[in-house]
Amino acid sequence: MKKATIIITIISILVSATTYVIIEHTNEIMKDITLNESINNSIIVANTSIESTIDDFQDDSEDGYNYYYEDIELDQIELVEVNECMSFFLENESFENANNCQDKIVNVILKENGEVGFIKSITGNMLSYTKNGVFIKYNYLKDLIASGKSKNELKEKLMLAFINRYRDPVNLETTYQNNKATFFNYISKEVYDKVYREYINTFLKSYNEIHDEEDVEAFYQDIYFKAEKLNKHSEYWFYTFWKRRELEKNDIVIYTILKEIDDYYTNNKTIN
Amino acid sequence: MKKVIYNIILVGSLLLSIYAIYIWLYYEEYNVTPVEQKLLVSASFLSVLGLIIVYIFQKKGYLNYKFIHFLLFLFSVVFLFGSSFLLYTSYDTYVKRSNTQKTNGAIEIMTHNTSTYQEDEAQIYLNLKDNRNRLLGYENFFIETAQNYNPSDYSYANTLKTTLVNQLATKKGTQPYWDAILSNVYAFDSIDHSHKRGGYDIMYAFSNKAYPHEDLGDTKDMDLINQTSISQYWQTELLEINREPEHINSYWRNNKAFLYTFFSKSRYDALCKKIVDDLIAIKTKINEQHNYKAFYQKYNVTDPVFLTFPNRKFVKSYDYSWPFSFWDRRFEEGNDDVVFEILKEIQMHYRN
Repeated sequence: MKKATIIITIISILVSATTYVIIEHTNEIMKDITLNESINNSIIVANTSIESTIDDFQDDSEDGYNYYYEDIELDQIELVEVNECMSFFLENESFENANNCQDKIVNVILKENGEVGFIKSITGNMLSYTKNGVFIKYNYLKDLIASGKSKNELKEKLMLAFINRYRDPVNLETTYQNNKATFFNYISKEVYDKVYREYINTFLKSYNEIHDEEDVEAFYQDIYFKAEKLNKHSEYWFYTFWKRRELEKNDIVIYTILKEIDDYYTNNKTIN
Repeated sequence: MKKVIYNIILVGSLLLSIYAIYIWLYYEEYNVTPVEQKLLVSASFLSVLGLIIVYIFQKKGYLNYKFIHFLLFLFSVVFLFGSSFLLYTSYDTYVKRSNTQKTNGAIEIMTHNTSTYQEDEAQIYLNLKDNRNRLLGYENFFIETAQNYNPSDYSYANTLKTTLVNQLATKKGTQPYWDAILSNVYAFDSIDHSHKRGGYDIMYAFSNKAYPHEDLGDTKDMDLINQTSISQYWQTELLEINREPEHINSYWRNNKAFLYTFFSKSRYDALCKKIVDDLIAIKTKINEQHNYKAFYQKYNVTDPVFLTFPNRKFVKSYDYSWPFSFWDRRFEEGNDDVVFEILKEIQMHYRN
């Protein structure tokens, strides 16, 4: 038994030595593998994220949105008032203005989502999201604000009711100053250049064109005449826009704001 | 001492070997971590050490039992099993890892559409879309709640009444507050600026006890809702107001400007003059009676003798008994002097 014991012990020592060597070798392999796996994983992750964003930007058909639902806690008074307004809306496809229905509902949304949130929702609504790019729906604002708007859906009405609050130049200026930093951070330069730049430049260009004229009134009269006679209201909308703003006395404020936005994204000027 | 050390080494090595056997037996269910691997290795080596020490001791003749030989043999076998097990797992791992490395040797280059977006640009678009969807969500919320809304669950009229009353209460101590209440009390018609109630008649509109308020049901008559809301509110105020003399005084001082503004001289003459004059005349007469306090203490308007004070003829000269009971009630509340002074002040104000 002694011999057997000794022999077995020696074999075991040899086996342990081999095991030790193998373990050390495995650790080295593990180091290499971890490095390669992490590189591969990051490429896979990067590719999947781009893949998923492509999927997210599949062509939205105008009426084929997925179903979205938000829940708002309403107290009893709000519940009754909002629902009375909505019952009227569902029956008549318009709001009972006597009871300030549009404003009541907008206020409920503002309480839930905030002013900035609502503005972000409007900016989001103005765009089409497709595989080939994200674009402004060029006539969207015109259709929304113009009196003969094509869609009479609830959200268009609510957006318009909200926008109407900013026809007052003082309100507009204050809100802009308070929130411009948020929005400059929200929209990056790349996004601005791709999506919004051309649109805003159209407004700036038309304003400059109008005010380069010697006789602004005559210019407007000419434009309106052409628009009426030849039914070219859509074509001249960017000019008649400024006339309407002049009547509301907020044209200068709006031009200043648009110019400031354009300057910020062109020259990355720091905002005061 | 040596025996103790020897025993400890023996027992320690035995335990480690048992642990090695345990792991080996449950290998399948047991994920051997690198720590445990190292533990097994150490266990095995310690067993060997124990073996060697035991063998040396045995050589030196400290122990000469056959039992020791047997134990030594057992130890070596355990050591063999332990190290073989470790060898097996390590080799297995090594093989697996090598295979993994072989298949992922080359890094695949993924091509992608050049018109896709940068990571952060995509994020902004997703945010914009998210915000758009939120508005859609609200739209659906409103439409769905309206479709599930059952008006009979809530009384619109009563809800509106609550709103109106809350709004009114916030305006306390302002002219609009008093305008609203006094117009309601005197039932002013906003169209032809005439009042439908005046003078003593307004007392019929209010009770001196709290009755449950009438439910508005589902009337849609906005005027009715307005009227009922304000009058129910004022009824509650009248019953709940603090009637202590100091408070009556301060309440009057704080609000008299509004009342004077509401009641022009002509309005005052038409609606209030008679009552004020009657109350003052009667109180003056009663004050002349030296025992009026005792009388009021003892009797009130439900007692037949009440209307004989100060004398029957005087009481009968008025076509209503209300001013007499008025002063009794004020006496009981302790504010009759204060109210008397206020009424005299009003009378003086409108005399000029």
